Amino acid sequence: MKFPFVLLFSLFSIGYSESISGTVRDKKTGEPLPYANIVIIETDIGTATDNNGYYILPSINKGDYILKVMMIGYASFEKDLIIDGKNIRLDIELFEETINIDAIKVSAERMRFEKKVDVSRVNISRNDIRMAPAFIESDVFRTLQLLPSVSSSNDFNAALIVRGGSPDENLILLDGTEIYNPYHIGGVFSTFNSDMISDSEFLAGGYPANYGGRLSSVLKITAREGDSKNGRLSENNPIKKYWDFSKGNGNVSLLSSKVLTEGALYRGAWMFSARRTYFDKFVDLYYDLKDNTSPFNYYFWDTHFKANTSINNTNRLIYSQFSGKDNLYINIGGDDFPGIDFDWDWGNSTKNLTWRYIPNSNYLIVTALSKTRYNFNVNFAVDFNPNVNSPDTLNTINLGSESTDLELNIDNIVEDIDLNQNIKIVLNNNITIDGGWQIKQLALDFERNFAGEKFNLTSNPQINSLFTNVIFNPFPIFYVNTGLRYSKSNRYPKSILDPRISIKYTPIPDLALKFSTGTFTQFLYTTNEEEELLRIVDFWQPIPNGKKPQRADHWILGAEYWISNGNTISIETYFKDYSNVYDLNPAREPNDENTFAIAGTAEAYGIEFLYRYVTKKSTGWLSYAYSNIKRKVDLNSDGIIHPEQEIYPAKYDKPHSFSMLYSYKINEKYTLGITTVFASGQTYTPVIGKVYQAGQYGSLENPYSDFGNINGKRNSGRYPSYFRIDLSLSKKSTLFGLDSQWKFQIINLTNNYNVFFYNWNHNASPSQVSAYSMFPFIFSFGWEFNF
Amino acid sequence: MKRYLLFIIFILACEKELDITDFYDDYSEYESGIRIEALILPSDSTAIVRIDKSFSLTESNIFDCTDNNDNWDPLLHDTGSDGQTANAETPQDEDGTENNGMPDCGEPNIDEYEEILPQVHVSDCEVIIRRSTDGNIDECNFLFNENGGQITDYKFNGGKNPLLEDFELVNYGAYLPNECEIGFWSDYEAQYSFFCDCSNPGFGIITSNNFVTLSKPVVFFENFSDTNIEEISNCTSIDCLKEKSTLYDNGYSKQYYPRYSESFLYYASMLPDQFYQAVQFMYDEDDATYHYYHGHRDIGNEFLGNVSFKQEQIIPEFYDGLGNGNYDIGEIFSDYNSNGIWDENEDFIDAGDKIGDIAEYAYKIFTFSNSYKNYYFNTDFLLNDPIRSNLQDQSGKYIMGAFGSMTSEKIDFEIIDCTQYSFNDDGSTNIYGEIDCLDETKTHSVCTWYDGVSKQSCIGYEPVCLPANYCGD
Repeated sequence: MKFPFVLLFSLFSIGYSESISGTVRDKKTGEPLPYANIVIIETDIGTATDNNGYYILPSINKGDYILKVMMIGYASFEKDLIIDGKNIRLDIELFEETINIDAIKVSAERMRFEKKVDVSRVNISRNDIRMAPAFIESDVFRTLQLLPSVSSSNDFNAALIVRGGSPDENLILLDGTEIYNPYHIGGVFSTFNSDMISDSEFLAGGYPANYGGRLSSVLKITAREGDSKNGRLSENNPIKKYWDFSKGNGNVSLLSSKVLTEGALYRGAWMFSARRTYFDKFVDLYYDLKDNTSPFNYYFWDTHFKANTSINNTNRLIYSQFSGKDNLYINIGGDDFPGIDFDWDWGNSTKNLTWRYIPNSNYLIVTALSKTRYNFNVNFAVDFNPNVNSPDTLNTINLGSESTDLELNIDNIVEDIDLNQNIKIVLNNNITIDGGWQIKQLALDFERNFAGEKFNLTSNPQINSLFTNVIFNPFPIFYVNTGLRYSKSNRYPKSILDPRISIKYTPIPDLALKFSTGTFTQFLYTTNEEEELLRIVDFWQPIPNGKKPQRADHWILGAEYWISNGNTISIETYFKDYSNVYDLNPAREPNDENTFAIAGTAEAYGIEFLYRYVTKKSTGWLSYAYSNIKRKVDLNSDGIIHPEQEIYPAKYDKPHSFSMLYSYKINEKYTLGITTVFASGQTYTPVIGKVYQAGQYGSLENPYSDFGNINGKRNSGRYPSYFRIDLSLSKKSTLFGLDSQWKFQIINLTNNYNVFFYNWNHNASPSQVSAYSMFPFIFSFGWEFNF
Repeated sequence: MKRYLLFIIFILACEKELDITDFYDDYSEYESGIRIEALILPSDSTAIVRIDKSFSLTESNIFDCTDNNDNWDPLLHDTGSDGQTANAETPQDEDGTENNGMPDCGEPNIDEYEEILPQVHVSDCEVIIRRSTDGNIDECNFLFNENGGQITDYKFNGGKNPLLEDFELVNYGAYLPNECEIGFWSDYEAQYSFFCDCSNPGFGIITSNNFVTLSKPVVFFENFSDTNIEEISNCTSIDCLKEKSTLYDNGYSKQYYPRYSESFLYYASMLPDQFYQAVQFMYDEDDATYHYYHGHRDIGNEFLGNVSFKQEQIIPEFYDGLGNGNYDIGEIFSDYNSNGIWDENEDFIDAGDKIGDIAEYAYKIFTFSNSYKNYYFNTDFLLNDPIRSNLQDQSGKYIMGAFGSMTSEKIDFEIIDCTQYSFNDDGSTNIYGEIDCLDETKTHSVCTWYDGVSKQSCIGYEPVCLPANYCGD
């Protein structure tokens, strides 16, 4: 019983021992530099900045030292220090310098390689995202899909499938705020404008106990803070002290434009980015010329604002706000068919206020309050006599229901208010304790109004959590991160404990062997059908009241070898055991929410290779993955598992996947980018016969409505292998006096016919089948400029 | 909704015809089976059993692209393989099948029901439905009849909205009861079972694996209010529901709804009958018959006590289906002299307009036995999934289809256009408007005379006849 008190005393006393802490920033812009390497020369003491540029070097004995800071692309920084029994606060600024890989033996990647105990972690920088060729917009999700642990279901769907997990198993965080539907245009793009991203950290499994509520992965996106150093207001301008404008950049492409501006704020910085597609304007123009009303239209926009200010040396406030909206309108019918208006908008908005308390000591406290709101609204109106302007009503009165005979309105709102606190104590060079708590209050509201009938589904799940991680290296070559997450939901009577442990062993300096296992729990799920071709929106639901939450166990074993200068090769094997996972119940009762979900189990396993390379002129990676995901669900709820239909590979099971990302700097003006994906096709349920059937949508009176499919074993077919090469070429130039860059892109260079789905026509003998493809050969270009 | 997004995707996605043999591994082991839909219809005091074959994807006989029943007319039906006559919006078929003087695949009256269905039906099974009441078992034998059932189809009219005269009834083959007692099919206390010997065509003996009890019909109500909902929800029997209904009097009188109004049909049923099929029919004055208009699945909105409550929105519109008897520009015609314009005596398709719109309709609401509900509503499962089918052969293998019942109740209604009692043809106020508007024989109390409505500023305050429940917004 004495042990906890001794430990607490030790923590407290060590908490006031000598340490050096501070922030590393870019000298030119003032932006924090994540993963900069800080060492005390001729000692074993060293660390790296976190993704906010903060570092702590604890427990340093009295004496004279030289502190050195290094980072790729920046000149090294050295400073003599005298430790005399007091904590030192040292904020450092680094000068940008032309990259000289050979000169920097220890890079940020090396620091991560040596010190971090993360398994299955990859960091993607803004440059990684931007150098990859992209359809219309460079996109973090599309870049992530080139990693061996990630795949997508098709070109029209940006949702991340991580090691066989469905897209709703990924925790997507923007500046610490959870995003529930991170896609534009029904999943073609993610909602994240690549220009505003500072860093994106992706954990494909076995992630630490700080993160909870999801079964598969974590994507943590940190937005840029903004340039606080190059204000353009004159020195005697009275507002310069409080606000200044430093610079901006823009991008104009065939279908969208975006802009990013940044500058200084009182003891801080601000950044604002916005983009909008203008496909709708072209459509309107086209139909205006034809003197018609456009039958369909679509656009999306998003904005992101971030501001930070230091109240004093130890307290910093950061505010981040994101808003995005999509709007789709379709009008079909008329003349010979009922007129149908389809109006659909959806979007996310987030607000996050973070308070970072950074005392001049060996710990820091981060407290955050955030609110995220995801909403989609669908209006569907049918007019059975669209072109009838009866003289008996046209010039008389405007009867409310004249233009619409039948309406469907769906409104779905997910609101999440999250208050959390994270305390990190660096006890000494070998032990760090990271702990905290989280209170999450959700409001899920679904309302459907069809033909005068209302259906409402409302729930208010609350999930409270406590977590702790202890990161220690008992021996210089042995790192352990052990953690525990405690969760309690108001929809499930029992408390949940998720233990996790990750171990890294470096038998030789350039080789790291890794192992991780842990339990992961999820209290929400989406009711999207597995068979859906397009992920239009996510419809979130809490677990059925009183039922077990979703649960998965991860087992990961891997090795990573440091070849040289950021060139690494890694291999990881994994096994994921889903002991309880929810799917949409195909035999659900429409008005009974407790029948919406059906529980099942699943197993995923695989092996992944990743080779990351960095040279003076080129960067990128090569990856290969073998994976397998099998589900077992009593779909018809008859209490018997029918192997043919109820044990099946998942829709997105792709055993083999090879991908490559390559960027080559030809000279100072031109840069070439190539991505390639070669993967097994997805599964599909084969059609094996045909039989007359009643109509799907109501024509029970005609049992001979059409020949319908007789399906074979579930997901036993597989589409042909997927192959795609994308190319980009960027050229730096000056146009209209602006530093600018042209970017030319080709999607699917070889015009490979990647099958999206098959469609059968049984009104022929023999039956006929046609395929629909994903992206064909597409050329696009854009112009980026700085101002 | 997804369909319309897929429509957008189709713009980007390229279609490619594939060779069916590429899928040989998928379909090669499939053997043709049968699908049985054995349905008791208590409201009609009968039953019907449809037994049909399924086919392999490679069968080569059903669609032979020839006019086997001599009803293909080169003047009307030589549309080409797209089935559409070329016009400003529909281009000429590129495959040369349009106006080539011979029948082609995809053209009207080629490979139609009359030609296909005989190849689909299995007509040589022995079919029996048994009834068990208080330990007594009796049975009804079935005989195959080539005209056992009827479905509605549409005659080709050049692609326009089907006119009333374009609706036609098509017979299909089915097994019907062979001189069985009429009361046999409406015994709500009895348990029914199905037996079928299809050894002759090679499908063995198929039986239902459980007893079926008949679902009870719905009861229509004038409306649901807080007061009557409470009373209705106390009911424990169908007779009680009928007692509570002000509309029920051994049948239902015709209902009237104003055009342009938000109107509902109200009905209730005893649980567990909470799944419905709602079917709307339109009335053809010429031959005094009802034609199928549309149908859809439904489920009760509210469940109180042992009662399921449902309100069905009426579409208060007229079906534009009669045509005006004259040729109008844009209508399809047989251009005998190839001068590009319609001439007297040339045939034409009389497309519908607002004259002679259909205002009279009927709704039939069906309830389902549990087995047929499973079959009809669980469409995400295979037709022979154990939860969907209750039919098994001797080896225990589930057979596509189901045995069950569908019980219907019907109500007639008419749409009244109140505004026609407001104005003369020239738009001026009809001095007799108020009298006509309030004439129960004309407007059946669904219209009200408003002295001044100001919905459009150019009209000002005009007296007008409007739906009684018109709220003015």
